[in-house]
Amino acid sequence: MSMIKNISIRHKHTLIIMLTSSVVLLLACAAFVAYDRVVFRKELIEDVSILADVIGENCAAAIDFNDPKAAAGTLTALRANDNIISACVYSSDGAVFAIYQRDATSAAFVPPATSTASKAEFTEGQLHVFRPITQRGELTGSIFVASDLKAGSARLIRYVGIVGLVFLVSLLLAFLLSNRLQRLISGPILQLAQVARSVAQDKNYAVRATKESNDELGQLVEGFNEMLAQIQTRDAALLIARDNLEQRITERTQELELTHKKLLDTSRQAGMAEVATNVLHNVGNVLNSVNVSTSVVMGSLKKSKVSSLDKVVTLLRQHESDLGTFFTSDPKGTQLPAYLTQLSAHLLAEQMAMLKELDSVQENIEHIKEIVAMQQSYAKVSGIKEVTNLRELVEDSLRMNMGALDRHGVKLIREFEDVPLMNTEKHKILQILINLVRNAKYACGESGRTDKQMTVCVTNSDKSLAGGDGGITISVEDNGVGIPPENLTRIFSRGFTTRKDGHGFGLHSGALAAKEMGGSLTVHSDGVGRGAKFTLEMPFLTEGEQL
Amino acid sequence: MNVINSNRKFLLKAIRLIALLGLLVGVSHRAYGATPAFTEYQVKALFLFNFAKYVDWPAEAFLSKNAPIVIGVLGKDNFKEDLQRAVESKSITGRTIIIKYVTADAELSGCHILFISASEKSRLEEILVKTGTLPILTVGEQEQFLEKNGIINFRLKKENIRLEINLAAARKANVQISSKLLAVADVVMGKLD
Repeated sequence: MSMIKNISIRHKHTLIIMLTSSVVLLLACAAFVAYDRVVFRKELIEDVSILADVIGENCAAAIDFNDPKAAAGTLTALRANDNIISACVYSSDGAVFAIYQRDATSAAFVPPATSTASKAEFTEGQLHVFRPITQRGELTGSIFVASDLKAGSARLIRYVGIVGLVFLVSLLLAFLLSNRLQRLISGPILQLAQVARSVAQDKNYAVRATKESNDELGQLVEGFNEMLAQIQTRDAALLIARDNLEQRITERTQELELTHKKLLDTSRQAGMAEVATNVLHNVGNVLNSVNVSTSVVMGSLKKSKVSSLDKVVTLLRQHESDLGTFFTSDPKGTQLPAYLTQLSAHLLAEQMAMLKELDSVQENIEHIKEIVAMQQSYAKVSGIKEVTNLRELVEDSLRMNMGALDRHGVKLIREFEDVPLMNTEKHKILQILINLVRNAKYACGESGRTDKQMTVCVTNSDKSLAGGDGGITISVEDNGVGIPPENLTRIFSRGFTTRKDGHGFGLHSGALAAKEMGGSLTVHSDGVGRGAKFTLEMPFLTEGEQL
Repeated sequence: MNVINSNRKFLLKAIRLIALLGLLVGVSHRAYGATPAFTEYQVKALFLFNFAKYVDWPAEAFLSKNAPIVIGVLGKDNFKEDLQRAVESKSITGRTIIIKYVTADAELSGCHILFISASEKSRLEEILVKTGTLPILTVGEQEQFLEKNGIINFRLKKENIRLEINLAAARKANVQISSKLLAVADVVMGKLD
């Protein structure tokens, strides 16, 4: 059945018509044949009865005048009818008088018991007919005739042949007719199917099926076309909507970007304001020190023994003419060299003290400059990227601190790999690096150990850790004071510092900057006195991944 | 009793003969004697009655439409009651059959079938001249019966009773004999071509 479901509607149509025709024809033919069977039997009984009557009548005299030979001769006339198997004539007392058998070779014919009543019965594929023989109303005897049904079989075969022929011709006609007529129905459907297929394949909703009639198929075609039209309309509307949506998304994206930028700016400004507060606070602290130092120097200068030197100079000028005598005889003069020695020592000590104070002032001013520079560099978040060689950048940061490192006797170890150029915000990284180097130097200085050492590495990031495009890893390791575990978590917090002159801003801003550039700044330390390692990861970012 | 025995014998012989004949002609029918237990005069009595079925008399031979058919017996009565038994309660086309033993020639004219016994051999010609043109079916049982203008003669042939018919005499007597009867007769004289 599923096979029939899947065949084309045209074939289905033909099949249905052919099936219907076949069934109807077969039924009609079967009825025809069945009716003929009935008619045939009736006719056969009639024919055989008439034959029996005729033969019987011709045997009457033979029976009446005891001439079995004549009766047998008369029965021989049955030979003319192929279908008569056997016959028998009985005398009036029921005794067998003469018999006839068609096939001499077959088993001897045993006549059945007579029946004087007229009788016809079909038994074992034969028709048995009994007829009485009368002559002038007097019962003379009876006759039995057995006929086979071969005539019927032959007739049946002939009829089946005719029926088969009629059936075939009718089917052929039905086929031809249905083939012609079914186009009325299958034609529009096939066309519709074709259009539907082309619509499905080409997504072309502009095609239309042709309406050929005003029946249900016509309505179907109309409905189909209407649907297509609706789809077309909706399609167009959807296209417009999609275009609009794209535009709106673009607009919204732009708006969002703008807002984002504004927010960033705002937050940056807010951050800068905070930084400024910090900076001012730190600068204020340092300025205090500067102020103290300045007061000390001023006090020193006020109490300076320079005026005593002036008195010595005046005394020497009064004795300009007799300097020799003065030094040898005058009491004041003899004391003068000792005094001058004393004064000189005093002045030297004074100078030393003031130099020291000035050193401190200078250092403090340096510190202020640093803080201001930091603030300035932070404020200068321009976002301008440059193609940067990070190795050179590390080198730069080291060079800037070289004096201090030498001064503190820190041994510097470089482990640089060849790394590709990176398009990044150069000055931000430099700032972070300077900070890290300075921290390391400080940590080493604080430790007070003699084998101060700092290791700077530049390596290609492990790709699997740094994300798809890889990146560059810079680490600064020292063997300085180390970091207690409780501080590891807050070391990047703003304002956190362990240095007495620190402002807690360097690492915080560094970590922020690293994050802003898509990278990270992390710390590792095994604990107090066991050194620390800061690692800056900078991935290669594709466009659009950055904030 | 002797007669019955001999009759039986000849019937059995006849059966054998006919069966043999049937085999010889290749026809697989066997013939059976229809009257195995009858004496000669029983058969003759039956035949006499049966003639009534195959013979038509002119209408003037009967007094009325339902007048009986009269079978006359002339001469020695060998039938005894067999003839009476053969016709008892029988009727042919509405006519009953009656037996009349003819003692005087004057009674001949009332008969339709007249059996002339072999005992009348000496005056056969005289009798047949009397019946002459009367509508009487004369039946005899002796040589030269037909030649002497008799119509049907019983002949014992191979122990069987066969018929000989003189159609010319029948025509003269104005009795119609059915062709069926002619068909079973051994001899038919005076046929019209």
